[in-house]
This record gives sequence, structure tokens and C-alpha cells, in this order.
Amino acid sequence: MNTSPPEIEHGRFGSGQSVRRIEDPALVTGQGRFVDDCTEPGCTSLVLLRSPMAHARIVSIDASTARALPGVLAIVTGQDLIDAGVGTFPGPAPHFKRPDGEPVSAPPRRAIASDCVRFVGEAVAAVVAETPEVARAARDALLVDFEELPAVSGLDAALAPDAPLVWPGAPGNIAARSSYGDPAEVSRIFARAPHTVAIDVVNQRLAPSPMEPRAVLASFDATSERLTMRLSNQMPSNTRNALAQILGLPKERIRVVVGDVGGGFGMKTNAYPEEVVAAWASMRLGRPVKWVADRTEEFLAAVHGRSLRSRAEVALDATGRVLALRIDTLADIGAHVTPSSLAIPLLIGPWVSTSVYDIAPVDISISAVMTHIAPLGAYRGAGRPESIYIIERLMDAAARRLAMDPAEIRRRNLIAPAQMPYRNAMGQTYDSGRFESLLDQALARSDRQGFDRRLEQSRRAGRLRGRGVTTFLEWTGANVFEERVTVKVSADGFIEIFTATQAMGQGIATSYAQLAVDIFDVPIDRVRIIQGDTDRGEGFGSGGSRSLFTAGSAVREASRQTIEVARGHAADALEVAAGDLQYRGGRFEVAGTDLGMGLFEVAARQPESNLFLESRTKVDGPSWPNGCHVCEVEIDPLTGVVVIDRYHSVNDVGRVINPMIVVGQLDGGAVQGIGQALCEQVVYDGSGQLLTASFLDYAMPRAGIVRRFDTQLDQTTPCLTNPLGVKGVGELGTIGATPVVVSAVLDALERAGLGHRVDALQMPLTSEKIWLALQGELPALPSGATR
Amino acid sequence: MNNFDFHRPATVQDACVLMRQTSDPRLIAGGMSLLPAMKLGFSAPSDLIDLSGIEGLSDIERDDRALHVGAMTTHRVVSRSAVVRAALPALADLAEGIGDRQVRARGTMGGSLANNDPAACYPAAALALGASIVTDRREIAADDFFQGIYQTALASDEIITRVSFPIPQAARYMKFHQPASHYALVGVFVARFNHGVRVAVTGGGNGVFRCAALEQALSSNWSPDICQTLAIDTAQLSSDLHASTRYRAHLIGVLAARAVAASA
Amino acid sequence: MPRVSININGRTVEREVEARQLLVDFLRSDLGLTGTHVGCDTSQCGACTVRVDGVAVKSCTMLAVQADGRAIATIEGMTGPDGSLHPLQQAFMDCHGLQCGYCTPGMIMSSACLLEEEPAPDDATIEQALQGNLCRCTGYVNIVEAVRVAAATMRER
Repeated sequence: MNTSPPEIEHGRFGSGQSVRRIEDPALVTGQGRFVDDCTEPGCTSLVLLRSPMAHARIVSIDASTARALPGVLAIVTGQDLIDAGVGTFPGPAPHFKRPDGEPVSAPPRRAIASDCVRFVGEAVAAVVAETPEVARAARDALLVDFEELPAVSGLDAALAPDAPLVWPGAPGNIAARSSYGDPAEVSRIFARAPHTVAIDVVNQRLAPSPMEPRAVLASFDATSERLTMRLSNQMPSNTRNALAQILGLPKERIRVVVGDVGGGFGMKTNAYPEEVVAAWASMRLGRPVKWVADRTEEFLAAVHGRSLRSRAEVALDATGRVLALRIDTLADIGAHVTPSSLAIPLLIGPWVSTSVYDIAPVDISISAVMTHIAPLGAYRGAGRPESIYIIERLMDAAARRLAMDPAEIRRRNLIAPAQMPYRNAMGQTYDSGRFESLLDQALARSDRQGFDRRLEQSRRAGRLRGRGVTTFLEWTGANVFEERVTVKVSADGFIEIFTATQAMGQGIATSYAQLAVDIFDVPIDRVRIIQGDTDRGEGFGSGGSRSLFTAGSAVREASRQTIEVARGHAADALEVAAGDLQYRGGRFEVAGTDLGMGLFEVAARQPESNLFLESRTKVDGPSWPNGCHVCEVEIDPLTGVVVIDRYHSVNDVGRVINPMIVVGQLDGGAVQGIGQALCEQVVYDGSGQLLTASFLDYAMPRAGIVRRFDTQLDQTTPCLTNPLGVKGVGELGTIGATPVVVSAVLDALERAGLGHRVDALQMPLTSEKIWLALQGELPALPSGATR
Repeated sequence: MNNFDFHRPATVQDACVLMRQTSDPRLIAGGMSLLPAMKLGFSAPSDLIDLSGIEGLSDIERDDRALHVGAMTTHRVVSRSAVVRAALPALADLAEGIGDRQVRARGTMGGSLANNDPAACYPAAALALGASIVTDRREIAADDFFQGIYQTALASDEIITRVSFPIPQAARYMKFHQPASHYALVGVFVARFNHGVRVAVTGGGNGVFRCAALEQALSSNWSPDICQTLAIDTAQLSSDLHASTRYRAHLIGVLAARAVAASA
Repeated sequence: MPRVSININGRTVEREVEARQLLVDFLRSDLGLTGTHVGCDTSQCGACTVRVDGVAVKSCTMLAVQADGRAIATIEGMTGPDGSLHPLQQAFMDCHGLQCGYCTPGMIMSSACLLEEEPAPDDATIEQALQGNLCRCTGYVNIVEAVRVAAATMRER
């Protein structure tokens, strides 16, 4: 399929069609229900006071003036929460170890800091008031006495001898270290190899920046003693459980409700301090409490993504086959050690270190370094973009060293279909993939032959041109393979399906409805997808591109089971054998007769006028979507400005339920990846002050950054580990776009005469960096290790 | 933001009286700079004096010598005005490139000049064209008007009513976007008159300034090529997160060349 | 407190407001029109875009008192009284020009203003017109297509 407007086949709403989204009518008419669109009678306003210092002891807080302002209902300090028995946030998994072998130790992470603050933006106190204006005025009237302490910002500063420690439990500011592979074997291979290549690779820190800032509406009902939390969140159950643990409440006393979410991208997968404070305040005051982040708070205190620096090396034979891979990574995880801030760089990202390439000997180590900046968390791809970027930079660098075509060196190393299922060097098993086929398709579609002509055209127009290619895969599923789904067929003619996965713009409600339509064979407007209510059911939620292949499989299975149950009831009612009944178009019929019963009539005949079924389905493993992205850029040599001229991709996401939605995920994700390549970066100064705290300084992609995508879906390789054959697509586009755009820019600069020195360039590839490179000013390559 | 009293006077005189009689007043034109500053807590006036109710501040006229633009004229109107297009197309093009569409609908020429943001575009136009900033009490030459970052020659209660731009033989503005804010990372306005060439640079970081080296070179040779061979003095430039002084200096030469090449 | 009289989607409302109240807050809190969204605090993102006397502006950078006597159009006003959709609303759905929907009202209001002035804009013009509207989900290409498709539909009518 191509990217022109999809033909909507009226009457065909099952899977495989580009059905218009059922989510859209509310959203295009301004009837969305985002958290801040909701209120409750007596609702109060919560505002946080945040630390202006990166590292300081809280000596005292004088709230006297603030408390006296009319309309102020409560001032909350960290000590208040401790006294009330509010606990700490979950710590990292204990299987992560420090370099000395001891289990990782994490500073206690509280909703409001009590003894000291460790990053600019960490909460120091909270105010609840009748209105946001009063709350802000009271916050501004709080007097906090800080004792400023030495702060470290940046990996080199944190690892310097005698650097101030972020946490005594992390000697040398290294909280944990993980290693994989066989260093001695890899060293031997490197020593013998005809060629070795060493580069430094930076995956810079990013701010996920969904357009809807975080928000919470907490409402405690004294009668039922239940707390209802309305959140903008991707994982309602997990967040509910974390909040329950922190607040010391049984899980059943908290209900998390999620309406519309204005983008998540991983940033909204975890529980946040503000939610704890809002919940606690609501319980204390007996009134609803609402907190809405402003954008500056999002930059300061929502989790950041990526944030790695790696020394990456490959050993190669004379034909370009990779003999071994060695990567040593420092992850700047910020001031706190959280479950995801360790798991993402130390565990999940490394799983795809060898990507689509047949590389067995590896030596991979990652150190989690603490600094006095905001904590890390999940951001679209969560570890996989970082690893894919590293190996793709290595492939391009190796191609330059060996004077090989970058497509060819990749081809030489691709895992062949005959090797499937393929167990990679990190112990992960890929079920399927035809990587070389995608490469061939993408090269053909991108008119590789025409490049030289376009290069000359660009040159005559005074511009540089370069092309990039990337072949890659990714891991999806979050290793949570079971999903529970409920189906209710009602007499009033609707089929209501509940799932605990969570919509945040990715179109899963429509996709599930299409899967239901496949089975129920009714118009799609008869299907209602319910999400976002922990009272309706629990589940892992949405992240790691898992929803469609896990919950979608469960929807299909539950739908089938429901039809079978209904068939039995219909058979009884009609006094025929169930096997004599066919189901089509919403109706059970005995073939060749007019004897039959509609599905909704079957429901009407049940004791509660509905058919209700609960079903759990487990898929067999992760899915491994993969792709080949090809890109051409033009560069204005006088300014260094990059324009993306052509972008082609062929993507294997297995079977496609809604092509329009899938392409939307790929292209939307790609623009985020391009943002990392060209313009986005979270920047702190040497004292831990955040310099990029608004869209005035954090450069977001805008309309026109890409004029057109050519995005192809290759459906010849369905996933073998789930009944739908679907591979998760949500993060794939982002993962491919970052390396391919960098690849194209470096190719252009290489052709402009910079040779292999381009391998020292780091993202974001701003116009100044590119212009300086063209003046001959580039960073140095690692010395000695390349031959 | 803090609360304040809001006034919408009907005349410039009434506005001046309010400016003098209230404790900590600010004039508001489009609000595209003032309101964001107030929202972030950088400004907390006791009174806002809205100029949008005063008639006669949005007229655009020309005579043989100059184009006269009312201070409350929005960027949107300037960019679409047939009078401006005919008399000084470089000004219309500059206005079309300010901010984004929504900002252009509200932002005003007078507001921009009075604010004198070091990365704003209009100061470069006013300075390069040798404009005359007409206030409620006097006319101030552009060369005297801009006095540093957010600093102008205006008295605290003085109100710009009109800006008069001498019509050049040729002029053009070229701007390089700061990639996040889309303000001018640098912006160069070149203007050729009978008496010589004037070149003003904004975005340098220290406020709009005239670039003597470019003026001298272009006065003797109005050609794009000359611009990029010049060494631009970095003394009036500063570096920040988005660009070094060296890159800014280089861009000034590039933009000047492009401005000359495209001038009309 | 100042008193304002504002025409909202064709209906005049009169309210007392604090001078400091932003137009976006007036729309959302006082009038319950929550389709207009707040996405930033530096007037960059455009999620708050409405039309004031037909012209697209960022309602987060305007005071309610500044809207006194003016006509405001919000996303809610794009839908017909009978529930019929404006061609832009329809085109955004048809072209998959929205994912999470948070930037969408602002995108639609900006586009509506554009199409009234430029009935046949090319891609570059549409991209330029939307520089004040950020989207994190779609990558913009489908949004531009939606505007182009809506423009064609509107020209046919």
C-alpha cells in the first residue's frame, strides 16, 4: 500500500482495512476528555514548589505567610508525608549489581523531598488551595532555607576522582553495572582481526514532550473510603498498585480512571510524586484535588529518555563480516535509581545490541551513572533506539574504513531467514524476519540508481547531498504476554469489550473493534471498546508496543469464545444441534432454512439481558518488528542546514490490522526520531541547572520537517508467536529514523571531503555542528583502536 | 499571574495620563511579549493600559519620502498591505516572517520596537532604514532609539504612535531561525539609499546594531559576493545554547549576501 | 471586576472576569468549552488556537478582557447544530490527521483561518501556516494532507 489517502471500503470494517478511527469523532469536535477537562464539585488546586538547586539540604521551610493567605487549605512538606506514613517509590530490581558486586542501592525516593534535594525541579513542598491562583501565590510565599551542596552534572564530572557523591550507596557515582558476553574471547578476536573500528556514540538526553502535560484529579470518597484517581497515564493498574504501596492502602481502595491521553510515549508509564501528593491531600481534606503540570514542570520533573555515551567497537574480516562487538556504555541516569532507569539502559536496550546482524561474540557493559539531574525513564523505544543507533553507527563507520557500500556491508551481516528462529548473542530469540528482502525492497523503492544524478543536481544548486540506509529490528511486548479481556453482548445491540491496555493516540480501540468485527460480523458502530478503569479489570497497560498483539489476540479469542457460547444458547432456543448453526452477519442460522436467531436476540434471552464472557489469552513471546529505512538529505554548506529530501521505508510489522493507523505510527514515530537526529536535546549546565526548560529552547520538529514519507508494509512474514501474526509497531519508526538521518548527513559530509572523520560527529546534528565540520572542525576520533 | 487593573483608554493622551497616575503600569499592545513575561512571573504590573481602543494608530500611508505605519498595526496587516508591498516590500516580507501566523495576528510594530527584544526582527528594519519613531511627544531617530537589550530611549510613560520608514532604493531582510523558538538566531536587514548603505543586525545577543564593515563594503559595491569575504567583528555578538559568536558572525555574512541578492 | 461581552460560536455571553484571566481559561473554566487545550507556557505550541473575529490567535496569550466585544470561534463551533462536521473535521478523520487529538482543535482552527484566506494552498503554504502548531504524534504529513483535502472539498461547494 502507498501513502495516498486510503480508500475506505464502506461496509468492510474488519481487520486489514484502513477503517476510520472510532476515537476520532469526539476528538475532532473538541469533546475529548483529558484530565484537565474534568472537574468535580469542591475541586481544589495543587501546586508544587520545586527546588531551584541541583543539590541542597532542606534546612527549614517557613510556611507562615503562605498558610495565612485566604483560600489556602494545606501546605505539605516531605516530613508531613513521612509522619503520615507515606512511603517511598519502588526501588530498582535487586538483581542489578554495583561494580563491587553488592546489590544496587538507591536513595529513598519520596513524593516530596524531606532531607535533601538532588535535582533542580525536585518537589520541596506542596500547596493545596481553593484556586490555582491562590495556590501559586502561596507557593511563591513559601520561604525555604537551603544549604547548597556541591552538585555534579555530566558524565565526566560525575566520574572524576573526588567528585561529589549523589548517593553514598553508589560509590564513584556508579549505581549499577551490567555486563554481557565474553570479554576475553572478544579481546582475542579483536587482536587477530584484520580490521577494527572504534567510535564514540552519544545518545543524547531527550524530553518526550507529549502535547498534553501530565495531570491528576484525585478524589477521595469518605463514605466508601475509596480514592478515585483520574490520570493521564499509560498503565492504570501498575500505577494504581504503585500508589497503593506508597500510600499504604489496599489496592482495592484505589480506582484509577483514564480518559483521553494526549500522548504518552513512555513518559506516562510510571507513577509520579504529584499523584501521591494529590491522593494524600484529597484523603486529608476530603475534597477533590487537581494538579496540572505546566510545560516547564514537564521539562524539569517528568522523566527524560536516552542519555547514554558509548565507546563502541567492531572487529571485522576483510570482507566486512563482523567478527565481534564490544560496547562500553555510560548511562547518565540522573539523581534517582528507579526500576526503569536501570532496566532500560542496562537490560532492555542491550537485548537488541546485535540487531538484525549475525554477530555472536559480544562484550557489552553498561554503567548507570548518577548525576544531579532529573531521573531517566521510558521514551519511545526505551533502550532499543539507543542500541540500534550504536550498531548502525558502527556499520557505517566500518563501511567507510573498508571502502564498502553501507548497504552491502549490512547485507553481508544480515541474519538469513533460514536461521530463524534465531537466538541472538544476548539470549533473545527472534521468531521471524526476512531482513535482506526488506533491504532489497527499500533500495529499489528509493531509486538508489538515481542517486548520482540527484547528487549532481544538488551540487549544481550549491548543495551537498547524502544518503543513509539502516536495517534494524526491535523487541516489543514488555515481556508481559497475557491479557484479560471481557466481552458483553447486550440486548440493546451493542458489544462492549473491556481491555486494560490504554489508548494514548495509537489507535488501538479502532484496531480492537476491527478484530471484533472480524468475528462478530456486525457494523463497527455496534462495538464499544472500554479502557482506562482499574475497577473493570487489571493488566499491564500500554508500553513497549505490546497492546495490539497481546490484547488484540485476547480480543479475537474472547470474541470467538463469545460466539461459541451464544451459538450454544441459540441452539438450545431453536432446539437444533449447535453444529447445525452457522453464524454470519450477526445471526445464527440453520443453512437452507429460515430458522435462526440474531446475536443480540440471544443476549436478550439471557437472565441479565446480556452475554458476558471473561477471557485470558497468552501469546508465546515478544514480537520482533523490523525494517529498512533509506533517506536522502541535502545540506546547505553555507549554513549547515539539513533538509530531508527523500524518505523511504519498508517495514515488517507482520500482519496489519489497520494500514492507515500503522503507517501513522511509523511516520509519526519517524519524526520523533528525526528530532533526535537533528534538533532535540535536554541540556544542563555544569551546576545542574536546566537550560532547555521550554519550547523556546528545546527544539521540536515542526510541520514541513518531512514533506512526504514513502512507507511500505511487508506482510509476508507474520509473527509466529501470536495468533494474529501482528508485530508491535508503535516504536519502530522512531528507532529507524534516528540512525538513517544521521547516516545520510554523515554520508553527505564524507562526500564533501571529510572522509571518515565524520564518524566522530554526535547528535543532534545542528546546523552549527555541520557547518563547523565543513570548516574542518570536528571532534576527535578515539585514538589507536581503529585499523 | 498577579492581578492588575485593566484600562482601555480612547486616546493617546488618556493613555499617558494613566501611565503617570498608576503605580506600576505597563502598556499592552499585542501582548505577544508582555503576556508571556507576566505568565512566567517576570513582569507584574499594577495596571495594564491597552492601546487597542485608540483610533488612528493602525493607519498605513506613504509619501514620496517615507512609509508611515501606525504603531498598533499588526505584523499580519503589514505583511498583507498593498501600500507596504508597493513602497517597501522588504518590510512586508520581514513582517511575514515574524513568529508564526497566530503571533502575527496580534503582535504590533510599536510593541516590538518598544520591547526591543534582542532577537526581534523589527528593530533591524527600523535601524537599517534609519526610521523615525514617532511618539506622543517627539520623534526619535532609530540611531538614538535602541539602547541595548530591552532598552530604548522611550521615557517610562512615552507612547509610540507611528513609525516612519524612509523608502530605500533597495532593501531586504534575511533571518536565520533559532530552531526552537523561531526568533532570529541572526537577522540582517540591508538597505541601500542614495547616500549609502545601512545594515542592521539582530539576534546577535546584545541588541540590534549597525554593522560598519558591511555598510562600508556594500556602499562601494552593492553585491552579494563581497559580504562573505568580510570578517564580521564578533565584539557585538554573544554565544548561547543555540550558536557561538563565530557561527553568528559567519551567518551574518551569509544572510547579508542573500539579502543583497534578493533585494528589491 | 471587569465585565465582558463576548460572542462565542455565535452566541453572546456576558461575564465578570478578573483582568488577569486568560482567554483560554475563560473558555475552558467559565464556559466549559474544554476543546481548546493548553500545551505549553511560552506561547509556542498552538494547542490553544481559536479564531478572534475570524483570525487565528493563541488564546493562552490573550486576556479575556481583550476579547470584549469580539467574536470568538472555537472547535466546538465547527460542528454544525445538527452534528454535521466541517470539511476540516471530516478530512482530519479521513486522512488520519490526528492520533492523540490534543493538538487537533488548534490545528483545525488554524487551518480554518488559512483556508478562508487561501482556498487553494500548496503544501509549503500549509506547512508555513502551521508553524505555530506543534504535534508530537502524527509527524504532520497527514495533517497537511487533511488541510489540502478539506480545501478541495470546500472549493467544490
